[in-house]
Amino acid sequence: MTDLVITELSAGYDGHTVLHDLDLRVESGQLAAVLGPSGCGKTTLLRVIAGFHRATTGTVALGDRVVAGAGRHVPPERRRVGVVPQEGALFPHLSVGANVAFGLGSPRRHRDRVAEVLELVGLRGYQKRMPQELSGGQQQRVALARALAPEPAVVLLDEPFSALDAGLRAEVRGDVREVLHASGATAVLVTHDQEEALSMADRVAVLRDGTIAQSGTAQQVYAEPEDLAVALFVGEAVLLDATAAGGAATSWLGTLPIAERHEGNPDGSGVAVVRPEQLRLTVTADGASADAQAVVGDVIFHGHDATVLLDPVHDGRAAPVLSDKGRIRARVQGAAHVRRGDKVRIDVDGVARFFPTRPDGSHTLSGVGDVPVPWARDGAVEQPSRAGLADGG
Amino acid sequence: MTRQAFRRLGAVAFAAALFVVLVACGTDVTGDTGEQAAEEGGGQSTLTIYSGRNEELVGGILEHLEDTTGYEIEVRYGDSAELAAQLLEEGDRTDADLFFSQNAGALGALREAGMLRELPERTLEVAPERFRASDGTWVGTSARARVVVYDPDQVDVDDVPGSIDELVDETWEGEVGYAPSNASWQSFVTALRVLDGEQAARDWLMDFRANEPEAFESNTPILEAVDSGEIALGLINHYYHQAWVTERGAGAVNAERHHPDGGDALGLVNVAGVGVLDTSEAPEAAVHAIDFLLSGTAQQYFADETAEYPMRQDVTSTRHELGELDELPGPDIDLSRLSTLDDTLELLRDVGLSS
Amino acid sequence: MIGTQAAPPPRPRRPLARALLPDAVRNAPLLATAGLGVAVLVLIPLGYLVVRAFERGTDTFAAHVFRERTFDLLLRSLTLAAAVTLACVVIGVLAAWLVVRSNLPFRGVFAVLFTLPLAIPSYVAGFTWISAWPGLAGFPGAFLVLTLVSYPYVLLPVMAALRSTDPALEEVSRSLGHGPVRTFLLVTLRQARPAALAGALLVALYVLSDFGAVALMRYEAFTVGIYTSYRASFDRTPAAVLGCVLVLLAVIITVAERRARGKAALTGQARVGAGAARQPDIVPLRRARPLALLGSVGLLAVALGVPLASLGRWLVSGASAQVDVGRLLSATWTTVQVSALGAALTVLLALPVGVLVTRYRGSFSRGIELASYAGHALPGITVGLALVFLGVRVVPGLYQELPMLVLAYAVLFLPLAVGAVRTGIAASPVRLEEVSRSLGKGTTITRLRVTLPLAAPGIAAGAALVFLTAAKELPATLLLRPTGSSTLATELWTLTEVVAYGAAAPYGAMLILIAAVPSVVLGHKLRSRGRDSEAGG
Repeated sequence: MTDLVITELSAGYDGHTVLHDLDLRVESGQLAAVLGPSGCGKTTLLRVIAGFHRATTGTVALGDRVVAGAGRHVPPERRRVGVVPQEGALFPHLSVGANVAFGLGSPRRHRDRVAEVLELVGLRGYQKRMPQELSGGQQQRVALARALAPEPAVVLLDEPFSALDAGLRAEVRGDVREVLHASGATAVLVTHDQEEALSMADRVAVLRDGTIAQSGTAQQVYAEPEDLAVALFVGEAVLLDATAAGGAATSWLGTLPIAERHEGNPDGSGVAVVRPEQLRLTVTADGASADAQAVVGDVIFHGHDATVLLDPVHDGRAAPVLSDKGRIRARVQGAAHVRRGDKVRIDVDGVARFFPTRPDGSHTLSGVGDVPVPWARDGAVEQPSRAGLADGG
Repeated sequence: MTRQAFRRLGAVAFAAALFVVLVACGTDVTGDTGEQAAEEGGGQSTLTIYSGRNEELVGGILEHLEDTTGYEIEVRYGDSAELAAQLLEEGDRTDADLFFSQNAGALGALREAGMLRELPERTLEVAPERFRASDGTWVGTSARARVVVYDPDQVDVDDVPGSIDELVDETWEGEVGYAPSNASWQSFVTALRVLDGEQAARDWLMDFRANEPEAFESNTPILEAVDSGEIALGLINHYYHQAWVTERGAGAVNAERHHPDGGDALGLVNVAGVGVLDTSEAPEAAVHAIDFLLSGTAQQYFADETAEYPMRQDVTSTRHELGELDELPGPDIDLSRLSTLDDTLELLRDVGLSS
Repeated sequence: MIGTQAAPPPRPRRPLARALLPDAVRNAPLLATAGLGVAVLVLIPLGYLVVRAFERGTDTFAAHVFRERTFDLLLRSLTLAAAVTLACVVIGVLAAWLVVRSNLPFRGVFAVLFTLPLAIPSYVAGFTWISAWPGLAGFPGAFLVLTLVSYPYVLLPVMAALRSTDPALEEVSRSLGHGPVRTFLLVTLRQARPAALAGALLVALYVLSDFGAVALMRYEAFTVGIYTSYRASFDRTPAAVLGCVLVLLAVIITVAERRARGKAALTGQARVGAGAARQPDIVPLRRARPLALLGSVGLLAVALGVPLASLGRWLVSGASAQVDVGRLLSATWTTVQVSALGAALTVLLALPVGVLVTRYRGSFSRGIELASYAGHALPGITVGLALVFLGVRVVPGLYQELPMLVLAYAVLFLPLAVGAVRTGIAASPVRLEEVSRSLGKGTTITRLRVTLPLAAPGIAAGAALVFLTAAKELPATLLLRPTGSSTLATELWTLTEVVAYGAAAPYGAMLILIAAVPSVVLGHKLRSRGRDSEAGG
């Protein structure tokens, strides 16, 4: 089908710039997720792609068609860009069939196409129902079917699952992903939920302050974040005060190998980042407490795995851990083998990411609040909540 | 297509059909005006009358006018003053041929704007001189008199006030009913100003007010109050009383009326009148129509149906006890001068009698 | 005011000429043109007023404006408008809350009955009160009558607002320790505020422009001053000067209302997608229930009972009461016809204005909306004479024909429709329109297939409101009706003028009956709105 290429895009409202110099490329048939916190400009980006909002500068091209930029503004109805808004936004006065047929010509002539896309989203025979007779998940599927029916060049999904409850969300996500792949459509999903982005998308683009901070496969973005903020945003992380030298970082957890970065790893002080699932916990014998590095403060059971919050055993140095108010977050498979009060030793699997301190002194040991992370508050770095932030930007 | 879509389509179709029907009928209602325009150009047999006189009062005689003259008559009813304002706005583009007014004031306004045509002497002379314009631009068609109605159980006929001075005697404190918003009451005050001057009028109104008169909404409640003995005296137009007497029989009405004979404004006799618009394309037909309104038939109609005084002395009402117009002891006043109502209202406001 | 706007921050790479145009004109040239056309149309009376007011020079104008009497009239009109508006807001909000949110017995019946006084012309209500209690003349009577006939202007929008408010907010308030009364004051009232303000604006403008009630009550308000000028001196200049002042007053009030209303009123209230909006909870009145019932019955007794009883008395006692059925039916048909056409045209003209104000906010749209309110503040005779002046000169073919009268209704009652259309369109989420456009439908088709159906209940309510108001209209109808045709209002006027109350009663009853049909529909529609809108219009 069509690839989507956005070049040096800027857009805003009333002189207030929301997006600036944004570049994004989505290959034909791929599902890309634009991940970002509230207010980062995700929705504005979608609206510019769809044609609801005019870009100030830059271009948006669908295949070889420039739809925005260079003095052109193709109106939304001529872009062939399908939109699945938040909460579906079905036309309440039209039946499911009429909703799906809306973008086609006469509903009568396109009866087959309506049936086909409804079947694709698993709602065969729902043509006569009214939107309010459907559950939230079904409404979302109808919205997707409606967007897919006219065979758009690109489908845009704006936080499409935020209104669904957790169980339903996982199911619908999977279905939508499958349907999108089956239809072969190029798709852009906008979300603030890193799990959603990582699990659904072929490509994840992290949007921060109106521009793309990093873009790559889900694995790349998760395992090789470009900077601390991205590292924090795409998943849980343990931040450690560290000093790098010769491809290894020395931190409170010992000396950790550092992943290669293409710009190279300068020596010096900075922050080492490991993912909670990289930590392996061993309960120390009672007699060998000198061996212990931390005491289990809390165990949060998730079913498939568990989060263990550990209080480091200090040796006089201040705040060796920069995340979770000085606690260490670890993830262990299955039922936790540790209990509150256990003394544990911590080993690290794999490599850590290291981000050197910038010349201006930010993310030094004493100034955790200076870490350039938009959601850092109260002097400690909070993990973005799994349940998702209140609202999409 | 879903059932619902059909329902909606049906509703839209219904609305559209309704609209078409309404518009079609609309043209139906007004369609005859088109024909009228055509005829005006040719036969000139259509007359448009702007009537400030109520349809209930003159509708019958105007129909009769159509039958008698063979002219097609279009009547536009409204308030005399508002129709005068409308005619002033329409200016020389008006379709109106005749203006039939409830009072001389509205006719005076049109005359001052130069919109009325001088009537032939033959037409004018049917009405007594005091009931027509000095320059012959309008002529009265019927007259009404201000009277004092009284409760004979409380007041002897000889004691009924016959002049403005007698009316403000302290005997009548709290006993006089009047209708402050009524046009005829306001005409009376205008006449008072014209006849006695501004200061005298103001002084009299102060005295009147000091006597604590009873304010009523209109003439009929005054009559009811006098009839029931609630108050002793009431200031109204003669025909309200006469209509009651005729409708209920003389024996059933307690209140009686007295024509003030002091020669002052209290016994003012006012007219309804008619004039021809200067721009009329059928002035002769219009004059014809006026002649008809002054004819025996029409004058008899006014005397019988509206209980007003006919202009013609040879007409006597067959239904009402009216007496003779020229025997009415009203004041001698140029009725065209009664068009300064705004000064009257200001005076009434100043004195505190307007509400 | 129109065409200017607070300059948006400069946008790069845009030709200067385009940048100077208001946003609305740039983004929706057709719509903006239509809106401008409507504004010009409804500003005709204003243009006429200016011509008349200044025809003898600015000195005369100033002399008439800066007179003690003008200030007296102004003060009286403002006092009356303020008092009536306040009373209407109190009555309207309370009554709306009772029928929507309380467990008042028979609240379904009350909901419909409460809206019925809208069907009673102010001159009929005024007459019944003054004839029964002459002592009411002056401010008390004018206040009473105008309050009783115009509180539904507040009641209707507040009912709609209360019905669509989110009960969750009230629950939160209760859970935070506020009692039911405090919650009502802090949360419920605030949610109803934009609706109440919009209603209050209509009431205030209605009071300023009403002539019937103030004339009957002999309260010398601005309109009485205007009428007196026409009637007493046959001089149109003072009347026009007063008219200009009245328009200025209306502009000030309209702007003030918009300031007070803020942006809240423009936010859509319809929910899409995730299931039906929850019906607001019913608050038990407990011990206050008999009192509320008594109050409701009392309100109906004075607002509806007194005029109806008096009509009934006329019917029974009138010696002249011989009903000419043919004449009655003919007047009824004419009334239905002109009012329906008036409602249709008014709504049609209100559509572009409503879309502009809700979808293309900015000074341009605000200016157009403001213009649409001009006619509503003017007494019918002024608008009537303006159209006489223009009609006879510009379109003599239409003068005193049906279209002219219908146009007069549109000029007079446009704000009623604009308000309703605005609410209706605000209820249609922008997001749905965007979805439609992304599905390949252009702006026009989107408006027809998405916005219009969703806004339909609001638009229908506006049409109903205009219909019943036009059915009652007298002064402009007298001036502009096709020669020889009569409406119920003109017949009523004809007959009451000659004190033939018995004969007039059937016309009054029929008028109330005709106007009651849309009132009942309005009341019922609003009562069942929650369910209806979900089932799709």
